[in-house]
Amino acid sequence: MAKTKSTFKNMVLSLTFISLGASACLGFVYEMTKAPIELSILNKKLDAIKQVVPEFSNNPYKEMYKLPTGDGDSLEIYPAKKDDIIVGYAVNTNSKKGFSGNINLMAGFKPDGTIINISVLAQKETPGLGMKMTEPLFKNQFNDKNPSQFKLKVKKDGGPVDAISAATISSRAFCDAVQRAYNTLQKGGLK
Amino acid sequence: MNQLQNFTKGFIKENPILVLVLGTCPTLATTSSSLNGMGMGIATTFVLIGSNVVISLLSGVIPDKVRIPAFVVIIASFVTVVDLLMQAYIPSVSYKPGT
Repeated sequence: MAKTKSTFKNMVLSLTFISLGASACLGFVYEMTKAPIELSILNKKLDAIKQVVPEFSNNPYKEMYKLPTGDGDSLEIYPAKKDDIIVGYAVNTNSKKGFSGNINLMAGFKPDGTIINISVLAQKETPGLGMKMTEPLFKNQFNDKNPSQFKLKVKKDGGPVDAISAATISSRAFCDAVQRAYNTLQKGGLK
Repeated sequence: MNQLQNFTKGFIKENPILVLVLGTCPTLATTSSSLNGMGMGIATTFVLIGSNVVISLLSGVIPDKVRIPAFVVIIASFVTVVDLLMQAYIPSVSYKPGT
């Protein structure tokens, strides 16, 4: 086949057809993967809930409710119940103070407000630095602490939290997210 | 050069990561475990094979002056397709630098 000449008409036509083909292909794959992707996000959330609260027998997903944070936003609360007694709350919290973009956490609280465990759902921090917030060494220092006595501040700001080296901003944002979850829960959640 | 050498030179002699230092950032970021490294390797192989097949089929039709934009569109679509598929079916391996 002879090489197509680089005339204006040929260039427009070929680019149009290639873009059309590419977009059709992408649209098809997007539609095909939409449901599985949603499912995997759901499973990830459910896994995170299981990690941060004690064993439960209800479906926290069905009993999810939203609470306002007081600054115009609202957080999702997943109550975990065992035989109709509340054993903990998983709070889907976030912070906009991250080094790059939002940080999304699942924080588990006992009914008295003590932190059980925290799991990172999504973050865009620097790989190797801020990303270390997903590691147990950092996030497990919050476990079994009650934010009413345990100030959620890094050592640089006069608090007890050991920040990640070279990632103070990310550590602050992590604390901020946990603090927001705690405040929101204290204000209206503890039923 | 015989056929075998054509394949083996990719390991070290013409390895894009080691020799051209291309794609170092995703390589360093994702190969934190052998599973992630495998995932990235398979995804890269798929994208390279797929886009090269499509491009060589189309290269006769694409006018020379719009060669680069056309190739960019094709390669980018393949990358997105792989990304979507990985998110859907192997979410544990799916890793997106910068997201």
